[in-house]
Amino acid sequence: MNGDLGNLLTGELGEAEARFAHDDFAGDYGQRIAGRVRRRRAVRAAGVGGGTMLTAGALVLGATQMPWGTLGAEPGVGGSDCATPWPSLGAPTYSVVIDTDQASLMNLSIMDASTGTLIVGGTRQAGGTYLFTDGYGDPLKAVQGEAGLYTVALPAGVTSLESTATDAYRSAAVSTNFLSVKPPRLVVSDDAARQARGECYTADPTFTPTPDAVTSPFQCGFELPTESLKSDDLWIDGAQWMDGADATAAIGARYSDDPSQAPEIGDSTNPVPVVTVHFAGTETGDSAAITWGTSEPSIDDIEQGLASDTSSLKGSEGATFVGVADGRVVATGNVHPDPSGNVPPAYLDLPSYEDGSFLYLLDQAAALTSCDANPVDFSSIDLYAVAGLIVKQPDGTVEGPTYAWLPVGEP
Amino acid sequence: MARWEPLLEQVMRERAPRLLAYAAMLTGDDTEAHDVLQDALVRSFSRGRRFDHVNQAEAYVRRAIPSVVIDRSRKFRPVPRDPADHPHVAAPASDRDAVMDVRTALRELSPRERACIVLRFYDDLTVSQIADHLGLADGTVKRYLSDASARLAALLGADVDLREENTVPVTAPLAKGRR
Repeated sequence: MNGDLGNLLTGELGEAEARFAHDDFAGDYGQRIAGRVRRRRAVRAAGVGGGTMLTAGALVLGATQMPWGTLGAEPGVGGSDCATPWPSLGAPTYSVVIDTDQASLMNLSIMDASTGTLIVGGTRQAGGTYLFTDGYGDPLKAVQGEAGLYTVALPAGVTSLESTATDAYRSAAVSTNFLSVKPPRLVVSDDAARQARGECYTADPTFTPTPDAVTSPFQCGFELPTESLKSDDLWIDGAQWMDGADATAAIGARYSDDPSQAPEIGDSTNPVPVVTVHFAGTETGDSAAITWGTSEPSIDDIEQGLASDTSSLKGSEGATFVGVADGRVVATGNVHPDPSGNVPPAYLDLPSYEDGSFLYLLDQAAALTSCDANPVDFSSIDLYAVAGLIVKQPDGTVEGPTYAWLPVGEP
Repeated sequence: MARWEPLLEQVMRERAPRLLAYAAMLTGDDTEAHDVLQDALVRSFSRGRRFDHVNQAEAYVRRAIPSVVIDRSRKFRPVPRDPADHPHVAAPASDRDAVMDVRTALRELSPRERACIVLRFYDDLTVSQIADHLGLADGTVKRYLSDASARLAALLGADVDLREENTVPVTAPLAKGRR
């Protein structure tokens, strides 16, 4: 315990314990808490430990039978009492909720029970997060909820889960220390579910991102589960503040060999935050071939930009600034380094992988775009630096996307 | 009845006052402490973990409380509570003044600062452990500890030992009201 303050805190704890001694917490809240636990346990998803490939319940491919019944009206058709018909939603999206919060869980697999085909694979990453891929090794969109709970978009064509193989799965997982193994839970996108229930369409004039489409801190509506995130492969150092002239000089110095190639930076006198992003996950020397910039990393960048190089590790990296309010992204970065000479609102400089990449925010107002129709209210948002990384190994294995973020703070 | 239910009942019956006290120290609000403990119990018992003993379960719930406090501080604005909701039970007179002082001082801190101070000075966690526990960067934790230590030093007086050798520098007291 640390000195006087520790003793005072101990005293405060004892005092508070005396205050609560006469509360009937179990009587007042016990039933409600137990009910909440029961409901949450009822929707726990399956996890498989020890890297063992196991069958996680039968998966029915191509069916549309949902837990609450067959999907109702076709897209574009509203209920008979609805004044406004539903817009076409296209194919409804399906996700599976997977619980990875088990100490022994390293990898998991969801397989078609009848054919043994891999449907979803999950691999624990160095930072403790999970990468989910389909049967071809391509990454699947996944949203991380509270600790260990992921909502993973199912590959196209997989529209239903059948839960009758629970017992088989449970017996197969007996080597792990799970107490309550249940099949992954299938969920359908909110709009499709509402339409299936016969609810009327209501247009929302405000920004309402589709939850299962928001998968990264680069996107509007992303809820940051923690104030900051880092991993061994990707992390961001806290912001250093420079005045505009120093930032201009620092960036210009990178073009000393050919100053004509330097971007026009202007003469801002405002304080410029500079964060250092460390893409250690792609720090592999000559074997790395990377696309990078201020946009979100993507497999498309890797495949299209580096298709001719099949022998080395390939990666896509990105870093930018976003605006956050109440833990949610409400303004996104909208610029890329512009080699044509225009003033870049944000500038990403990569001197070396050892020293990290330097991300400058030269023009805050121009660098961020609001997620709704209103201008960005800089007095009500916190500025965050975000970064992402995807790596594709020579054998085709995809690692990532891995994300990191950090509040920029004040000068 | 599932095997976790009797243990949950036992934790709530036997350990709630101590867990509520810990939550109250982190929230600075007795009623908020009830909400936090509910969330921490749900979070802890929903994960499918096997608790062999009530002590193990209590320890797990206790570890969950700071994270719940931080999560709630992000989602909810604090609402002033009526102190009459939980009548004060007097501590021995010799300790009361100091305890009231530290409780009042803790309420002056932000939720994150308060969590960092409690984890550092009560739970004896290192900066890195606090950072891992709360999902914050090491530097952020150091900043919270430094700012909060300065504030507490100003509020509690010079006789309170806030030294953080090799970890957190104690800075001069800041102007009142600065965060």
